[in-house]
Amino acid sequence: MNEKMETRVKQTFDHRTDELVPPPVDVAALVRRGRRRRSWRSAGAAAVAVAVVGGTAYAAGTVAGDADPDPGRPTKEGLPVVTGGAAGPQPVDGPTAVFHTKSSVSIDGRTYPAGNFPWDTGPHVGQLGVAYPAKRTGVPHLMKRDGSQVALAPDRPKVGDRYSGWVAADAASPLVAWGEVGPTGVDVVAYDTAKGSEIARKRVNCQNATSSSSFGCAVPYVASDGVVFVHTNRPGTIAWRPADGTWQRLGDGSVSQAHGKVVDTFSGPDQLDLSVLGDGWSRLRLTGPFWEEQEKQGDAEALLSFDGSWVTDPEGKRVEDWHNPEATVTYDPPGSEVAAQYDTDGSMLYVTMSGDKYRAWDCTATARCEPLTEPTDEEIRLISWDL
Amino acid sequence: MATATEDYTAYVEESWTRLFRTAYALTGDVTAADDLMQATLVKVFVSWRKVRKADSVDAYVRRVMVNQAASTWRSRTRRAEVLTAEPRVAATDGPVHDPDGEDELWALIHELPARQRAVLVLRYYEDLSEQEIAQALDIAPGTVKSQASAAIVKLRDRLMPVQVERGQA
Repeated sequence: MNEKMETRVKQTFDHRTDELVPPPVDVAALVRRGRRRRSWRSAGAAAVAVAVVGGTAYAAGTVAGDADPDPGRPTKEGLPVVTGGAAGPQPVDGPTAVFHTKSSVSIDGRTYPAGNFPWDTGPHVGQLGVAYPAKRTGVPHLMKRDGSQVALAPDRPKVGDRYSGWVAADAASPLVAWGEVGPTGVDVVAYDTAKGSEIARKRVNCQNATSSSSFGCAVPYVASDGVVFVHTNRPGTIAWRPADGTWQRLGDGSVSQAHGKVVDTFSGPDQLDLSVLGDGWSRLRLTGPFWEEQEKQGDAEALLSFDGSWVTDPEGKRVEDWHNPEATVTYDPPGSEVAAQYDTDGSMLYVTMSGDKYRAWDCTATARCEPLTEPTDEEIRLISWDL
Repeated sequence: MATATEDYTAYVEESWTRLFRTAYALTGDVTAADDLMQATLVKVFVSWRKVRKADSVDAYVRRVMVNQAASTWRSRTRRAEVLTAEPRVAATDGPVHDPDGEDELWALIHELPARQRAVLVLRYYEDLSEQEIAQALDIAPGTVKSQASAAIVKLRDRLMPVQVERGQA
């Protein structure tokens, strides 16, 4: 009987698939998505993803000037398109135009040798510069806005046997955080880059250290407004405010972005309880025709602006005011876009490709994008502010 | 020498139909197969420099696909569950245009648990050996055998009552 069923299963597969005429493949679109994913992932934004329904209808807005049948799409080459009276992200204090190649790091329009700067996902931009785990050693460092590189910790961690390979940085304060990883736990360390001293440390004991990732059982992966978000392998997120020692489990979700508003994994309506953080914090869960839950497709990142008011679409070219979905700005950097990131001055940073050449761009809501680099064979990566 | 992107493009264009049919066998639905292909091939692109050096690119891609499919099934299972007052009853009324029972079997295959379904696809559609299936799914060869057997038994048990009612058994 089983043999007969096996034959029928095989015939069913063969007949059904033989009848099938697959839709045409758009390889160029796959390549674009792949490049974007590769770049965003390398920008440190891969661990928590939100996703979208591609090609779905989007809330219509009004193009400044005359009516546009397809609002939100550039109508004049290179010029941004604004809908709903959007002004775009607001500026904050901090380093501008931060990006890197394997050989150099650019901050505030100046380019410095990479030195021990790694070519991976560990660096994050903070108020006073780029915090990063040094190449090979993982020792937490800061590249200041003048290009100097300073170690924030000794070669060997005080606790454990290695650093976590990830240094979180706060865009709104001098706070950075890292993990010191040992076989039975992780010390989460908060550090003040202005004072050059450790603020506090908090121990997280591992339940099952041997099955943990290279980060250990806990990694401080987002720092925002004085709060360090620690991802643990229980799983879940713990919020730690080193200034007063507050240490609260928020729930099973993971924080993706945090600038007053927390973007989480979108995997459930009540994943994070932010009430323990006090006033000024709330959870941002993007829903509706444009954003959907993570499970829907699963490989685009939501980037949240520093003022917590704007999110990018999965293409990265359009930002949306999540309070008012009709308010959008769509940027049009020349070339095929491979990465996007907010800049502290209120503009958007892009890396595009034309042919095999990479180029970085600075785009505002009011003018054509300005190139930050010449076309180059070297891959250019943007550095994220949080996850 | 072709660039990595040119190489990737050539591979996708050459293998699209073949891979799509595997995706369709795994999902049972053209739209879901297309989603699975997109997700799989984007992942493959991200790792293409490594993939292109693999002994068998197809084996690597297949492995990505079946794991992606399992992941998608898990999430869809959570979201797609609908509670109903009555248990599912196989249709027995009206004209049946399925003399060989393939429609019913196709539907039942796609109600199987993800791993069992993947084992059936790899074994009876891709004609892979137990060892190759074990590698693709990262399970023991013995598990391949037991999962295949369990799936076949389940299909037989589920199909029989329907066909008895139709007078086909």
